[in-house]
Amino acid sequence: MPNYPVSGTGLGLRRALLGPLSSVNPEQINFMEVAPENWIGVGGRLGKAFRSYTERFDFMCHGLSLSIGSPDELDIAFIKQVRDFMKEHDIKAYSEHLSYCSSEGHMYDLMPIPFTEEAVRYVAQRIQTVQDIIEQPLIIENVSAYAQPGKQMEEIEFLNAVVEEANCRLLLDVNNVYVNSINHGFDAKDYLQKIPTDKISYLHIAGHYEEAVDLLVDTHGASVKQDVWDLLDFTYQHHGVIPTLLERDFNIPSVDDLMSEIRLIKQAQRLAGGDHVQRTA
Amino acid sequence: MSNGQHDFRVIQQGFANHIKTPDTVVRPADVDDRHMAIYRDLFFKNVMGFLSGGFPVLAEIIGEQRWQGIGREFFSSHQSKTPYFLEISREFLSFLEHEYKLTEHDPAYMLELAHYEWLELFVDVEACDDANFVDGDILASIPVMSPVVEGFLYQYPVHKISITNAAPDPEPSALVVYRDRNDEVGFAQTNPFTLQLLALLKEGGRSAEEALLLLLTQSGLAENKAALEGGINTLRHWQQLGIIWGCEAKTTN
Repeated sequence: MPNYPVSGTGLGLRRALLGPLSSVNPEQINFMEVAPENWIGVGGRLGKAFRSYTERFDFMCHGLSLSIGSPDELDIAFIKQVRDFMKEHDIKAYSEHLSYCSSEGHMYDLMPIPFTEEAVRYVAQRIQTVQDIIEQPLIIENVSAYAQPGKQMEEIEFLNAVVEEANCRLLLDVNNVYVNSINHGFDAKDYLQKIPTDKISYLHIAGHYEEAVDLLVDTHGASVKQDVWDLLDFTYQHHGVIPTLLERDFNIPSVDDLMSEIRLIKQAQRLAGGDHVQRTA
Repeated sequence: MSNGQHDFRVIQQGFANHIKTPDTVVRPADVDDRHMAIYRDLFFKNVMGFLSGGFPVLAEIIGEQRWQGIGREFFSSHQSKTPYFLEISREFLSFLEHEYKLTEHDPAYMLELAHYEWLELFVDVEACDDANFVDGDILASIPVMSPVVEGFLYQYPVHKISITNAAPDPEPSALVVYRDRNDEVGFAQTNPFTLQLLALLKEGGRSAEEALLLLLTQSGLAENKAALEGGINTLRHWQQLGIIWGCEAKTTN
């Protein structure tokens, strides 16, 4: 039985959702996720509203600013603040993007790390530094990309090499696999099959925007596309039923609409033969 | 490991520099313009979203085109240190204060208005310990101030500036921005004297009356009954507003 930090289906918690989700219970949404960069050091009415959620729901940290692949130095003080924040709110684990978002200063969005052997070693070493500080495995996510500068190996090879060398965990974003398969012309199912099952901690699923037939943008601003639902089914068939979180960051719809997408995930999990929801707290 | 050994980091810096300053830094040779444009647009829109959200009045007064130009200068040249999104406003304020050169098109109150808009956000979200207080007479006991309260003397009436009042005359404005007992942000207009009173009360350890008398004495107004009464009225008003939350609980010893 795989050991996941959370179970069932989850939803990314945004500031705009603090009010609308107030009557939802942990049987409907089994876990939530927040960017620590939006909540560390935040008090007042927002801080209190956030606390009311962490007291009721299992939580994951899904970071944005760690910049694990950056040419800039790791921000050790920040990593310690994340660790303390996780303790304060009993947050189960910390995931981040296999990416970088700073180069001589923060740029607040994600850029693609060149897929090279040298970068594998560099990133793996930095992941280990983070793991030493947070005293638990870091969970690394495959990111959407619109360019592959300096590429010397395939994305899946790079991802697996980093996870292997850093001895970290994996957040598999099914939408990102799909987006990249279109943008960079690879077989999404082949990619998914090459992921080591025992490294996966949880899944992400989200909507994307079609800039052109051969260029998709990972906006988290639309409902999940059918091709991505199909890949989620495929992932469950191949790797087993895994806790899955819906990301929705822009054009946020009504709670009813969000809950219908959550129910679609639950349905996919049931059809794939598992719905083992349990509070891990 | 020396930096020079990491070829991939040179590629990364080139990629990032092109996103920051596309007009002068060429894109990486192995990325076509259609794909690079996605990054350029996503990043700049994201940053402008934070700036326009943090400084809505300033953005509107400056106007879309120049605001984008200032945003581009910030994004190109300022090295933001904070990983926290709500602190991007503070980075921008620091950029305006220390790196940006005001032009003839910029209003003279630009830095003050930016500071005031940042302050409203800061007071709303700053984390603080819960305040412990009881209701009571603040004159006789030590008042418990709002845990987030800041007072500044601006040279312009920044609280009244808007797109329809974009060219105000200078008018010294002593403003207090605070979080009230219901976590709502409030502001009060006052005078330089009461800003000093606020600073004394924030130091703690004095009853409101002691703080008031100390300040009156320092100002040579110790015998001035009208000044004393005016001060007392201000303090009572502050308690109603929520600048003062209550009194320290008495401990028996």
